[in-house]
Amino acid sequence: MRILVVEDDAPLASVVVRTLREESYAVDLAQDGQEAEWYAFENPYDLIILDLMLPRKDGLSVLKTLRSSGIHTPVLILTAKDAPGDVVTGLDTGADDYLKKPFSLDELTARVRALLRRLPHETGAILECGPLKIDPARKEVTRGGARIDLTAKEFALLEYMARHAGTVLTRTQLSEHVWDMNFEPTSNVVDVYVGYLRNKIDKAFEYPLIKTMRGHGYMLDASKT
Amino acid sequence: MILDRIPVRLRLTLGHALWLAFFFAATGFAIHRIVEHNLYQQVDAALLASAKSINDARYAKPLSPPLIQEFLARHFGERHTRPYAQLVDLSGKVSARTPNIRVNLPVTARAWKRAERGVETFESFVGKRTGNPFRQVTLPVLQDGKFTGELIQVGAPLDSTVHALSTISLVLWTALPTGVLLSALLGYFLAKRALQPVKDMQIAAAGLGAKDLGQRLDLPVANDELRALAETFNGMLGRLEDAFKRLRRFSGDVSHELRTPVAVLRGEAELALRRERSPEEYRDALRNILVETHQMSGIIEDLLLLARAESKSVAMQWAEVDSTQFIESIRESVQPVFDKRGVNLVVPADPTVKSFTASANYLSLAIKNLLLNAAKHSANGSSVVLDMEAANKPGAKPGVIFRVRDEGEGIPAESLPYIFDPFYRADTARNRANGGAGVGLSLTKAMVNLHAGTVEVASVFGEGATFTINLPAHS
Repeated sequence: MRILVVEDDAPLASVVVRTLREESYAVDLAQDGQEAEWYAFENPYDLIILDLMLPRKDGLSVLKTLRSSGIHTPVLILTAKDAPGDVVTGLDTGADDYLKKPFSLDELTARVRALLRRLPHETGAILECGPLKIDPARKEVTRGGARIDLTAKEFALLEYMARHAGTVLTRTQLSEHVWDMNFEPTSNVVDVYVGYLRNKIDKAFEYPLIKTMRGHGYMLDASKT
Repeated sequence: MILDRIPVRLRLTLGHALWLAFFFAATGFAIHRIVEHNLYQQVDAALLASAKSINDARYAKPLSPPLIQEFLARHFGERHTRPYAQLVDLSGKVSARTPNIRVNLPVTARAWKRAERGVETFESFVGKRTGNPFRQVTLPVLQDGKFTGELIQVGAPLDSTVHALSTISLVLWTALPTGVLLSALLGYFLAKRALQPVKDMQIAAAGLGAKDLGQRLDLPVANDELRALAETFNGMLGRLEDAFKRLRRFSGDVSHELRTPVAVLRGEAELALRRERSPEEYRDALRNILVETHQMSGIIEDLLLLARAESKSVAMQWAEVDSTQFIESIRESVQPVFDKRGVNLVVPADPTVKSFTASANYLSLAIKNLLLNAAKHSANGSSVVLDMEAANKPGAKPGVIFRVRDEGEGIPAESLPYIFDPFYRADTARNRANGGAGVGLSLTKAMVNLHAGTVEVASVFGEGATFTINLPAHS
């Protein structure tokens, strides 16, 4: 899951970005409204965390531009103001949720998970794919009841594939949603990580869940064929 | 004053009615007197004419008393007719009379006296028996201009005159008080009508809370006192609204400036505690928290000083300040910031004003903030110039002027009026990394105000800005 954080206050942005990265999300940071628009137009984010008070272009204007350009990525707005006016305007402009500063990081990550659940064909808080169970809140993965330990990046990759189980995902799609802007497009990092994942979730079991669709990419699928 | 306790509507009505009653009464009396006078004149003229015709009949072509008797009878009719006449002499002997006279009519001493001078006399009597008023003329009979001792008396009852007068009185004394009463009532309702807009305004004003300060009273169309009142009221609302807006913005800004660092503190601490970490990671978290705490206490100190300065609860330490030392200490404290940004700071090496009186710590804070602000808005390699000179105002003790000039991007004209407002930034966004909480210029203004001075800004957008502090001489 790839998240864009838009926050001009460097210390606060740093805390939020570090927290989300620890939660195994791919995170990009934009420090003003203009930059936020460029990033959002360039990259397919799964969520945008948007501070309302920004240099160059304020958060509400950014939100308006995104929505009118057909970008419907969920948006969580951050505000430090007392007045409910900003929150109301923000939600009415197309934001999906809001948080008031100062906020607890647990609440922030919970809201992020809740917003990511709302993506198309999403279900409960726990993702299931046949015998595979993924708990994004606890970062726990089990197959047939057996616990599997994954690194953060492996988990992010599996989570993204599980959220789109049954659909073929290209290497580009995977790289765009699981890696941040520092991803090197010419590398074979995606194949390497898919390999790591296979070792952990498929190797010791009777049939593979990760299927290679030659010439297209990969797919997580519960069927045995 | 007891009048002040009466409601204004009643007071207007009462005052109006009182004057009206006075005026009506005076008019009534005047009308009555004029009518009375005219009526009596008519009666008197008729009586005199009759008396004269008797006189003519008697003496121009002398008739014997029996013939006069006949003349009178012919002239005045039978005994039932109302007017009467008689001829009487000095001894009171009546030589002829109309038959309707049945008593001896009196001849008053006044009438005799006037008759001796050859002048007729008009008198009013009340009939002894009937109680009817009548009017009588006593005309002395003159021969060759001399009183002959004979009098012609002609009288007529006044009852029609009296009746006419009493009718007029009745009309006046009923119509006028009714008029006063009606006009008082009308006046009361008029006053009520006239005061209705005031009541409307009062109701409208009573309904305005702190939340609807954006509302305004409707202005009456007529350009009168009520419109002026409504305009005054709207003006007051406007100023209130402005003050409220500034206050609201100020508290919003304060909360923003404090909440963001609190969010960072909380975030750093929570992040550090989310899992087991290496000592180096803990140290980093604590360092970040410390940096943030420093910034936050800076903001809090600035805000407290600003609040204290604006409520004038700051202890001023007035003293003679040596200009060279003062400027050098300022330069020393801001030089690191200028070096970091690569901006030249130019200060007067040998100020013309050798010393001045001020509270040095607060004044230096004001100038430092101007310099830091200038540095913040200056490009690498440009210069910021601090000037100092004597302010020679005619008729006043010379004060001192400080001027800070930069070559930065300048201030847009629409921002100039607000530049000294706390937290105001030409760019609506905040950037704490760029220094300060946005109260620097407000602090400068507050500090200069404590010295009874003024601070002004002049700027052409794109061509830098000049801030001028003008301190009057301390007395």
